[in-house]
Amino acid sequence: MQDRKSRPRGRLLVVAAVLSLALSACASADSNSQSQSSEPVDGGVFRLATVAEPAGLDPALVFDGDSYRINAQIYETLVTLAPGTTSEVVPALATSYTPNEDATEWTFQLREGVTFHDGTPFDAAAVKFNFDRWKNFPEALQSRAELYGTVFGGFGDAGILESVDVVDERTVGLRLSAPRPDLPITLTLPVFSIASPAALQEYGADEVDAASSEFANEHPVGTGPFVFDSWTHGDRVELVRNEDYWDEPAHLDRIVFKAISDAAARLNAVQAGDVDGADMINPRDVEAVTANSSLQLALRGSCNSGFVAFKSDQEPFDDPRVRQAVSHAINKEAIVDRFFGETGEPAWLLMPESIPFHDDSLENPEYDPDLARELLAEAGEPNPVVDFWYPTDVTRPWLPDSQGIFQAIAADLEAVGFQVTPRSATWTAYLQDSKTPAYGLFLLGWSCDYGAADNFYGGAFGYIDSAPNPRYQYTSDEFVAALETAQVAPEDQREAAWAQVQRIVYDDLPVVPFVHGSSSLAFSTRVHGYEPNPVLVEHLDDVWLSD
Amino acid sequence: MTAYVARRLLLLVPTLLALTVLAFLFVRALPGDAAVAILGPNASAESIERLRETLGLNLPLPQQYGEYLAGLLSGDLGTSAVSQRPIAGEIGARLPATIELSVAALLIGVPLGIALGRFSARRAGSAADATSTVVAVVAVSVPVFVLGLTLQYVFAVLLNWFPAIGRVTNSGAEERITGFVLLDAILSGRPDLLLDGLHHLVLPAVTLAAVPMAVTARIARAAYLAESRRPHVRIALAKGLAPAKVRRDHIAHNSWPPLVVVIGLQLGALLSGGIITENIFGWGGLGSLVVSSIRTRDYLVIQSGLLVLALIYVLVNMAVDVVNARIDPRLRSAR
Amino acid sequence: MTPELISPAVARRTGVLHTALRTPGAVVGGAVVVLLLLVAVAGPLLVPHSPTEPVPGGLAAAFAPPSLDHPLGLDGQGRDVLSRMIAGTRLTLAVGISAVLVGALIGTLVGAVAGSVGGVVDNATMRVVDLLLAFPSLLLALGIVAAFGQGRTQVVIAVGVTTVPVFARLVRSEVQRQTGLDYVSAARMYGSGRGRILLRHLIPNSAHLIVVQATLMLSTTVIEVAALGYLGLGPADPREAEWGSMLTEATLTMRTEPQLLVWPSIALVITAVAFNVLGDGLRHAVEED
Repeated sequence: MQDRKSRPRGRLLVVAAVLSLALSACASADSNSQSQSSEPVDGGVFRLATVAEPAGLDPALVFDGDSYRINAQIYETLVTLAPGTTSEVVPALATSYTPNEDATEWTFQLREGVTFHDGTPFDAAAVKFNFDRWKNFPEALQSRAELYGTVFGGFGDAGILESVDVVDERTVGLRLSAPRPDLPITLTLPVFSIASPAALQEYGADEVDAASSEFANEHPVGTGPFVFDSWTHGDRVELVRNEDYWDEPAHLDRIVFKAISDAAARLNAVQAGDVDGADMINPRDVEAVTANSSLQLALRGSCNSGFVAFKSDQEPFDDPRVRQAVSHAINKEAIVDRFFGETGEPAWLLMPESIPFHDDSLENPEYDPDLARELLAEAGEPNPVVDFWYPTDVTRPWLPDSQGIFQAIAADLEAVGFQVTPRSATWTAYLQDSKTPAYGLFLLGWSCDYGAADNFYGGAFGYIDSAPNPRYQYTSDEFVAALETAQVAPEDQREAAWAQVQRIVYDDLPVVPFVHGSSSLAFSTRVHGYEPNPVLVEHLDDVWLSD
Repeated sequence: MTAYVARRLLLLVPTLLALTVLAFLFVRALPGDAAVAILGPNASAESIERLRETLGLNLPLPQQYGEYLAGLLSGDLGTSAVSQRPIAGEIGARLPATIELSVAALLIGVPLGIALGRFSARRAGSAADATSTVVAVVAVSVPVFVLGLTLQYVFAVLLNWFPAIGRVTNSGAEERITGFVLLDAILSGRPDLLLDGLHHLVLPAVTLAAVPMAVTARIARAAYLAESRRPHVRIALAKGLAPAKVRRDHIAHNSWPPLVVVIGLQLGALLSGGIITENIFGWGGLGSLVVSSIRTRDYLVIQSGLLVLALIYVLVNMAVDVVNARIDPRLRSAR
Repeated sequence: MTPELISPAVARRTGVLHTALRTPGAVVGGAVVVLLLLVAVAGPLLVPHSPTEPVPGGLAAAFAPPSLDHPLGLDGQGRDVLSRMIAGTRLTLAVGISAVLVGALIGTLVGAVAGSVGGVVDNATMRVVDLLLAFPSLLLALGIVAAFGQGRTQVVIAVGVTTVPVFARLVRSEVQRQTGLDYVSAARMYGSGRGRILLRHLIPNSAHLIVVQATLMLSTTVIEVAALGYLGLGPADPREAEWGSMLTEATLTMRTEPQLLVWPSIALVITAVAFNVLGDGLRHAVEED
């Protein structure tokens, strides 16, 4: 997520794989992680302290976690992720779908009896309207709707989405000019939420010049279990229950999302009872939460990695021995222990074990300062002088304490001979500037959009317009070939193909992963049924409050 | 008096113009380009160029400023690059929170400071005087984030006397009329909401009040001491007037003008401290908007946010001068 | 030079210290300031451990409670807190003093020119200075750091600039006051140019006021630096010991390790009180003189 803007565009999948992913019947989300002892109670206001305000409530145009979670209550996608998973696709507005043999034509069967919050019906025409809207975004909006471009390889006719056809009122066909066997999981992305065509038009969702779309601020209209009520800018967003929801209506009367950026203040707020839940608890405070009998903790699990990144084309990092030295110099266990505790695992691959096709045979390079020193000596660089960058004002599941983690890694590097000059910048500037050569050595991470190997390896290191990602300058024909093979490999060869991709990156070390981190939430014990998800698509219709 | 006020108002025009120039130049001095900030780093060179044209960034500076000023006069502050919302609305939505908090902090800090300052002045040189001076210095020397987080932890979490965050309980029953929580509660005839709002106001206002309290105490002490040494006070006392009456009628009355000036100048410190206080107490005011805009390089918002904050400062200080001129006629010709 | 040309303040200067030394508060404050300065200078000799390097064992030893070897315990990186406090005196004071110097320098120049030239120049300059006051200082500093990048120099300049108006106003009014004094008229009659009078007489004769004001501003600048750090725009190297950065770092673990918040806070308060009491004492002495 943090790195989304660097997503490669226009990389297409070339060969087809026959898919028969007929969906099972509607999987009802009823896996209650907190307490299953009592019967859910209806009613009540659920107040959640979030890190930031949403960027906007037009789901097609935003990609921050706080917008994701609010939009996931107001809108629905054709298919979605099963509660708590990152890769299990389950039906939502579509009850089933069927691809043709080469995965270029997809037919979606739509759910009956669904209406938008404004009373207009949800049907094939509405789905077509939304897809056409995304496809034909004016240029000014395209950079804000980047994920569409990534999935379909570009906007308008530059992309692979040829046409969207209304077969009948309940059936929609998507016709692609190239195969996309993994289309279903990409359609779980919140950017593919179906909004009310009437509201989109009435409230000027695409008027770029006015730019302040009324739709995204005052009138977001979807089909979800909650209806938008109000947004007090700088303070909170409120939603109320959708009484006419097509499925069981939600338990809660109302949800209040309240933005508090200071982590200590969020925990104070939930402990004082001013909110019922607080997001992104500092790992150091996890123990305080679990030890407190009036609080409970929910861990999201990890779908990310934090790493030390290089510009692989720059001295001294163009020498693989220097990168290996870094990999052996960092005491990952100690860092994870100190800064993540129970919320992190040491990492050596880009993706955590829970992601399909993770290669378990690759092992963590040993922490060995002596070996690191030897490698530096062999490389003829016993004391490389380096600028080492870190971001200052950001909290991520893989970076809960950027200054602390930076200092620990810098100390490890200096212990083996590096001479580190600390450099820092604020997050927005950091993301933009880390693509420039000034950032030879820097801290970064990758958070997934959905749990798939391609989302990690293709996303981070895939070529953009046949050039390596400027952030890492990782140039490897071998890697690109292996990646392209894996993306379209038939089912029985996928595991081997993705293992090959992981092996190449593991050997080349364009980045040195050190952690798979997990963010966590603290709730008062009144809260039940909140299913945390590392991709932050969290449906709150099963949340209920006791007493 | 009317002439004085008119003159002050007239002087306001060049001041405001200069403010707009400063805010305009300040933002132009920041690195990067508004068009790049809006379109993101992946935008093509052509689309950046096109947006620069739309935004008027390719025009010469004076002309850019002219268009900016014309927009200002018609109430158009432009659009936020991050939220894509009109900036006037963004600022308008947050302004009441900032004003409410600042006023509350002044209402707590200033009377306390005056009391403390007079208390020390009357015992000038004693241990009590020294103690209260130290109290005042301590209040300004603890960074506001340490003070805020500590107060929050002690009084909201451990003692549970006050809410930790927010302006209201968020029961979903609040009516938004003016955006001022307390005013809205009164307008909608809801004493319960008024109490709720006040309850929420206590911790952030006390946090923010520390600095004005300390500064006021210091000035009050000095002003009070200075007045009490003036000849007319000595004469009044020599004439046999009751010391309490002299304190009230002569010393206290005449020590007001410097105090009022300081209260006006305090506003700058308040708006600065407010940035961090708002952050900690989930207050959602103007200061936090400007800070997040600096981080996200949202240039137009920074420009307008700074302008509005400076405008508040200038207007309040003008009001201060007018009030002072009422108290002390000598000041009317002085400026 | 004729005797008349000896500035009154020169004769006064020696008296000021004597007067100041009669107030017990100023004496105590002065003593603490001297002590702080001594620690700042001698810090490297006094530290029992390295203030920037973790103890052996590093992270695993982080947050160790106080022991004989480490009387204040270890911080989140496994560094000796006492050593960081001692070494931090130097950097904290250095940053604060340099910031004040920046402000005093620019402010004095602006104020002196405005005060001695007078007229339109004075009016215009002071209007601009007043406008600078209108922008909240923290925001101004934030903007400057955003513009010029993060680093210690940038922070010093940013915070220093926010103190310019105070010095400018002070020096201007003092210069105006002195311009009316006999010795200045005399100097002018002897043919001294405006610049010469400014540099030789007016500014030196305002020096005591500037020093007093600088003493009083010191804690403000130190705290402003800490505030910038909290907002993520502080100095770039968090490994160096500086009380403000130590505080920012400590807020993240204030629940579990509140002691890390206590020491730098106490140090900041002591420093602020000492400098303020001393400054007050000096000011009274100047006023009474």
